[in-house]
Amino acid sequence: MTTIKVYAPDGEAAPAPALLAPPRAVLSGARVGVLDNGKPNAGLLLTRVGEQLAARTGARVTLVTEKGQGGNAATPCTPGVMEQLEAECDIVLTGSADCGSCTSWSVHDTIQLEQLGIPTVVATTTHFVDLTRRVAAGYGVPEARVAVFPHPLGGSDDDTILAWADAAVDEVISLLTS
Amino acid sequence: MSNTSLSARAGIADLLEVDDSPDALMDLFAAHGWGDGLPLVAPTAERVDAMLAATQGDPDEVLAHLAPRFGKVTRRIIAVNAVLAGCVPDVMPVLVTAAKALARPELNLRGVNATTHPVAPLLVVHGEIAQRCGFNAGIGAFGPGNRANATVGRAVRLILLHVAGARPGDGDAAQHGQPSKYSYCVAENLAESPWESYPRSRGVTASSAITIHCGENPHNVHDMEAGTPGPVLDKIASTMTSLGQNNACIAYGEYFILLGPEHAATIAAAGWSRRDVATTLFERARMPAGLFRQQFESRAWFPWMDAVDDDSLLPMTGHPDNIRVMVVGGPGKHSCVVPSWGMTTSVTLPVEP
Repeated sequence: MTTIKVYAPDGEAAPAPALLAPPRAVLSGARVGVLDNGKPNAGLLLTRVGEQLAARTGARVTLVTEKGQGGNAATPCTPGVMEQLEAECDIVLTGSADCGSCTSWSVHDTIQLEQLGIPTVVATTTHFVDLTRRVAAGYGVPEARVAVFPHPLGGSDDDTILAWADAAVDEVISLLTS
Repeated sequence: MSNTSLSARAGIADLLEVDDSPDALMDLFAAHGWGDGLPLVAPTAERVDAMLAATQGDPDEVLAHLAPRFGKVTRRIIAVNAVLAGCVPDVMPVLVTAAKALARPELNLRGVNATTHPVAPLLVVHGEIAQRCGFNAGIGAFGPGNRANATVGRAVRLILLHVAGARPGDGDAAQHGQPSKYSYCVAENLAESPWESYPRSRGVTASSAITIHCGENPHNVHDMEAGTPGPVLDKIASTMTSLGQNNACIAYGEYFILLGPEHAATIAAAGWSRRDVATTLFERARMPAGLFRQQFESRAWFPWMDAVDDDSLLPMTGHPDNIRVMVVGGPGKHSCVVPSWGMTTSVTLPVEP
């Protein structure tokens, strides 16, 4: 059979070159920020992780915030809140990355914070961890700091969420320090 | 994305060798994770060059980057996908403009592509180029059967799949998808519209334009009887008023109201303007604030909406200007509503040659 030549349909991509911030050898004294994207139970989960991490390591939670006016799970963090995080925090916990657009934008926020030198853990769930890692790989950092929680966060009761948070503290400390 | 990276030129896309048969082409594309599952036209250099001849400018100029893959959009890669979709070359300016619109930040393509919601970009073609290229604004505008609508809508989706990286499971987490993710393109029926063209109402005065609205499939509205605007708009308002739509918890979301020409004529015969339609729907598509609060713990509302007491009625979208009205379709007594994904704003751009 004769052959033909056809164009590939995807063309070049220009991934933003991203680097993770160096880990912190010691968390004692570190200022912890919580960037809550407003997904159900995200704030409850992340704040508890932050508080438990602080109790364990001598860090302190200095800022718990959402993304700013007009910002939410389906948008980037507003510049004002990003500046506040940069000024007031040494490490950040964000999420939850447990749907499509919220995963994509939470990873975006995470990469932006990492570029500012702030080690950032993004909270995902067992059902969205693959997507989270693929989005991070799209920025060139498949090794992004991803903490995996059970699914679903939305619709689970407070006691369950708090127990999941407590169970994840070791993993979060490890992600930030190594 | 920085301006410096936009000034660059992309390398010429790779050429792959394949047996000259439709089946071999399908196999090659499937092996790479390309295509939309339907048969494709082979994007040979000859066909791509013919497509490029219908547009002006450097074929390899980077016009935009599309998220989440940050794929470089060039006229050449648009032409490749236009060939694959079965387009005729004359539609190239529509596709080039559509690709630029998809990259606009207010459209939020990263979110649109990634979300679990089924959203697809609806491309509406307006004016001279719609007529010249044979886009269908009348009977069966959403399909099937018209090559321009079908293939241009499909080319937009192929660009999203290939260049933007919106593959289901990778860049696209839509739980169910929706049929309009294959192709979602109509023309505005200006010939039967009682009002000025939609782009002109948005300040775009060029003879040809496009609009992209990222939304759900069309929701039908049926009224065979009304001789006055009120009952028609009541039914449209009822179709808009649903707790299951993202608009219910995201006040930023728009509605596109695609009036059939007969409903539009009934409304305009009473002296109503396009703005009157929007403000009336803003007033009528409402539910009690307390009900929204009870149903949605997470709400993207404007601050004033939080101040309204539970018994008052809140609109399904935060501003009358979020209700966009145009005429689409043929004879009959139906109209349709296209709700939004939510955190996206429609874009209307002039089509340049």
